[in-house]
Amino acid sequence: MKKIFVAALIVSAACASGPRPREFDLTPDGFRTEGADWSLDPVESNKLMPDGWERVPGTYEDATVVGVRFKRIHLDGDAWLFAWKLHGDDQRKNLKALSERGLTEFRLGSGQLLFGTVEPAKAVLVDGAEAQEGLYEMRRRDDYTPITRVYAAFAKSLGNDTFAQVFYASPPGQFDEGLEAARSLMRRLHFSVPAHEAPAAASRGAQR
Amino acid sequence: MLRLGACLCLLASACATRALVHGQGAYRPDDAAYRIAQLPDGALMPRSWRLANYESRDGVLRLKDRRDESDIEFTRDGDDGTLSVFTRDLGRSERKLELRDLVNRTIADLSSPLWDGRHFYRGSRFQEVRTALKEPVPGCEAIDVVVDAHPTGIATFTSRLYVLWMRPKDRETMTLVMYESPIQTFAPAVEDVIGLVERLSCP
Repeated sequence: MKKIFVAALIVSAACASGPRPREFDLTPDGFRTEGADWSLDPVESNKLMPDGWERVPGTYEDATVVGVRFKRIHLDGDAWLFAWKLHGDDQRKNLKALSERGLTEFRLGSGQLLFGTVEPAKAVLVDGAEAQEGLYEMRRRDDYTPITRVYAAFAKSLGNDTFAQVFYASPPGQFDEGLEAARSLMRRLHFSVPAHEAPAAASRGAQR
Repeated sequence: MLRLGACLCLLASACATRALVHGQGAYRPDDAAYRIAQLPDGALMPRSWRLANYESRDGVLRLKDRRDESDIEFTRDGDDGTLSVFTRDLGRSERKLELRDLVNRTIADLSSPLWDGRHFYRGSRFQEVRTALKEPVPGCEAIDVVVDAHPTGIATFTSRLYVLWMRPKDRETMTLVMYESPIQTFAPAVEDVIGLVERLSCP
């Protein structure tokens, strides 16, 4: 029941500011959806996620959105990757504002559970994007022990036209084992870089 | 023909949407009891803010939507902060109240559920971040406060607000200046809002 609640919460947070998601497939450039200006590097054996994870089939309907959900096979925990095109005023919003939208949906969806920060958001290197990641938890108001721990990462392309977010939620006692795979989901992303940004982005890529 | 022209003229003036008047170094919504001095570059707010509810028509800033009851609304380019200025007439009994009582009444109203005929608002809960202070707005009495807010039934704070209540000496109206933002993006913009408050006056 708790897992269903967290899953529903994450989907609602992810979909709050975007249309419904679409399928994407493995290409020579990595996993990519047709017409998208971003891709995801595969892990070994051309898989989306390492061993211990499996993809959950979903419904993908929109031409500009990708939404993929994974679950852990032997442990509890789910990860989601959502990415979509930014339009209009949203293209001018900075990463902090866009990430706050996702986190605010979490706060609203958490209801009577307190949604708190474990590790404040910090910048991470993602090719062709400005990105950040942080750790959060949900707990009852009168209980110090968290019920669920959450990893949330957000990336806005340097071209200001694509936004991606990765969520990973798991019971705290099993969280750490899945964290690196969830982090890699964000770090394996590549965004196309506008021509005037190319040299800077190239140097960022070299640091990876 | 002259009568038709006069009628059209009357109709036009009756239907004209409210203007944000810019002159003599300040901005003032039509009939407002306050004015806001312009910035050195002639603007009302710094460039990271966008005037949301007015558009320029024949060189005059007019409300985009004639049903809009707010005085001024700004949005932020880089984040989701919004700045709104509202004015409402005070009833006879309200004019006798101290401003701090009106402040408490407003907070109580915002805390209560409300059905406006189209939407249901479940009300919000507030926690003071910076205590209420009297602000020196020339010609007006004013109080401001910074609070964190969350909707009723939600445990975690979701937004931070700077609110200023302002009442001219005739006590007939009350104006609210309200800046609301997600907590993480509140700080970068609040100085601009305080800058606007410092440029307020009630002539």
